[in-house]
Amino acid sequence: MKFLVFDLKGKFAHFRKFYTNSSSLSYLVPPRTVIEGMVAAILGFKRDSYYGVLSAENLLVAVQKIERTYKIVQTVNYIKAQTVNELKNPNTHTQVPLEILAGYNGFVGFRVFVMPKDEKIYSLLRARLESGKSEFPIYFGSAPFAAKTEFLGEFEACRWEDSRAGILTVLDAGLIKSLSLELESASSLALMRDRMPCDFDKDRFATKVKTYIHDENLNPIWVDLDSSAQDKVYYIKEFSGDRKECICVM
Amino acid sequence: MEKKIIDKTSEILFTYDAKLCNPNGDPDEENRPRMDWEKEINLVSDVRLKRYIRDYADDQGIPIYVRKIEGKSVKPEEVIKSVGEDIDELETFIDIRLFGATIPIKKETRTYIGPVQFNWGYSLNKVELLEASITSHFASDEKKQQGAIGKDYRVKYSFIAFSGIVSARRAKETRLTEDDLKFLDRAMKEAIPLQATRSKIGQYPRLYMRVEYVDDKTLLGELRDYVKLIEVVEKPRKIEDVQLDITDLAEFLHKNKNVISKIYYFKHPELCLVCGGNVVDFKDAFGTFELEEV
Repeated sequence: MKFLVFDLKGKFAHFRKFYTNSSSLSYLVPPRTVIEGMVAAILGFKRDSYYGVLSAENLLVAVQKIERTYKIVQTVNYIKAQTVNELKNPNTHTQVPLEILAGYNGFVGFRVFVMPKDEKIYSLLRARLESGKSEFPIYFGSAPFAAKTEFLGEFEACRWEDSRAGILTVLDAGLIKSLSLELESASSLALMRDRMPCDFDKDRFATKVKTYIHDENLNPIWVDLDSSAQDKVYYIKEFSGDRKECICVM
Repeated sequence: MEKKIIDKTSEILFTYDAKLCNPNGDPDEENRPRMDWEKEINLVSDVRLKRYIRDYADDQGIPIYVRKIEGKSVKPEEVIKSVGEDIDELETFIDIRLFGATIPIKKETRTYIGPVQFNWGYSLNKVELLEASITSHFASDEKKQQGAIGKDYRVKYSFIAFSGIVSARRAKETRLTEDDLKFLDRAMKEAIPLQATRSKIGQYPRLYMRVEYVDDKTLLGELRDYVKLIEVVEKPRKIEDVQLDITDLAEFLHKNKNVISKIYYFKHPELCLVCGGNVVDFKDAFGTFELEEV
């Protein structure tokens, strides 16, 4: 089996946390649903039309953070509307804190591994990524924050049979039997844990929400895997160090 | 009237500078200019820029959707009614065609993502803030005899860069025409100086480029990454203290010449452009492209 691999870069990002009601807080990594939307934009699926065809079952996604980031908090002035009729009432505004993700090197960057199971979608996506052209413009979570793909190629992947692995990508915490942190590397780890949506139903409601962990300092996380990780963890030679790191599907 | 819906994507680079004013205040920070303290640079939100363009349209009597009627805030139905019953909102409101909108009208809310999107702007130089106390002749309370005292924050000098995109694919959804884009080009040049209020006076557009590609899918990415600000004197305070190095931009665009159809632009006479170490005219650097001054 093969994964399509590309890097995503952009100046700023905002991946809204679904569980806050007023403040627009941002995740530190894009949830699977963001990548799903980007793939849909590249292919030209219209809004709300792709939640089935690109669901977690039909589109495998793994995301590796490749740039260190920090957050800027800015308050934005939104129009206050408690009913739809008030939405156009520019006299009542409400101030909403907005977290913006920015990169220490001047941009935010992620490496994305995707495998659409449908062959037609796979080959169209590969062609689009190769040409760098996208039907709809892609962005990091919010329309102003434009993003750009850099295609790295398609790479042969195999299932990881071992129970222990160093995971490069955002890791589904449900697959962890135990964290086996080695002390000498643990000192440079900054593990982050958050609940992110994984899948949408046709009305854009999150049907699956999972807990994920990743390392803010961009290190792989060494874990003992649960038996349920069988079809979630893959090994790709070209993206693995000498210690055989793996990727994990979100 | 050119009613042709656009069929080519564009990417925008827009720079303006702000001298002793407040480009965009943060309401939760006593209206201090927005800052990224990590890098000591000034930030401007995308909606601030869009508001300049909306106000510019409004001043010219071009109907816009996100606005008040006779100074009063009203329901969206009223805005729609004020221009006539049974109108087509895309036909009527230029700001929906450009920037999209959420139109909440009973039982059917329509959402359009605008074909024109700007990223947040940021300054290419490190920015210092100036803080002052100001007095007002208005009292803060009817029992008080003296005027209120307020705080006033300004940037000393900020050279701000925005990037933006125009998506032909989204333009199909909002019916954005060639004419609308011509309006946008003009607004980028004229809107900011015309919107001068107390906090916004002292801002001038310096360079605008809209690079139009040959098809509806090409986007080369952030044009801001290819320009550098040269500070001729330490801590610049005015346009004469800086130069804009466009060497990488010229090289990058020439490398991609085959996908570029045209460049729409304006350049302020006071901005000094540098290419390959020499001071150049805009036309020296980009003369091999088809150019149109806006």
